[in-house]
Amino acid sequence: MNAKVIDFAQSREMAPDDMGGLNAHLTQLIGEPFQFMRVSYGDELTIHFGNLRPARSPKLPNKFYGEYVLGMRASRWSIKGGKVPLLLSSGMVADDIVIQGALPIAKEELEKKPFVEPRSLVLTVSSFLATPYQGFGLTATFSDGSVLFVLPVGNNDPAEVDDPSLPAISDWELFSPKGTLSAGPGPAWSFKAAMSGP
Amino acid sequence: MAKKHDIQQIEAIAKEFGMPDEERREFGDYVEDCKRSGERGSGQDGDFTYDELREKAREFRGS
Repeated sequence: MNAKVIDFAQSREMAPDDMGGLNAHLTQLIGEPFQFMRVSYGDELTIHFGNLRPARSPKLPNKFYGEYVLGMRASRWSIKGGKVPLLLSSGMVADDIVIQGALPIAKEELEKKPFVEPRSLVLTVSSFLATPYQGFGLTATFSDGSVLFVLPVGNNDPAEVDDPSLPAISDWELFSPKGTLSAGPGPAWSFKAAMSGP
Repeated sequence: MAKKHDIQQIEAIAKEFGMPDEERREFGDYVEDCKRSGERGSGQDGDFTYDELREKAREFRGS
């Protein structure tokens, strides 16, 4: 047998080239069902997986969260539909490039439209070093044939340079019952185990 | 594309108010709900300023 055990319980910050460690944490998502997408403040896309739970805050009645939440933070991303011939994309294609059939989409429509079929399972997920963007990208495939692709913004785009007066944010992050996995900024990542405090 | 500055502001407020990651995520959704329900901040495109977000954090926490 060639089985492996991955221990998520330890909070670790690894060397930048430890892709194996980053990918190990991402394997938590494998087999989890896609639930829905939601756009948060700052137009950040979040993707919810696994069992749903109600919000902890009483200020958010009727709002649900996946057991696993992948937050794009400020990354560029695309989702290629498996059962629908559509590409949903943010920041992947320059605004001045004309693409036939490309239309803007409102947040509310993005959240309602099933680009990924609900309950599709995550088949594969992995990160990669995106050298031109000075950080880690992410790709995932789903059982309906959909594909998610995420690239860090980096600091190449002058409009997206960090505000130095504010805390830097990760390029993307994965909340899970085990803790928070954060990739970036830059080619570095960390995992903060749940219950270890802020 | 996402607005990095807005997300950084939420991060800063979360740190200031000692919000754990999960609460920070819910706070971002709360502020987005406020905006979608028609509330306008005095920043660019109706975004909330830092001080307005501070007020939102107090509101979110019910204090």
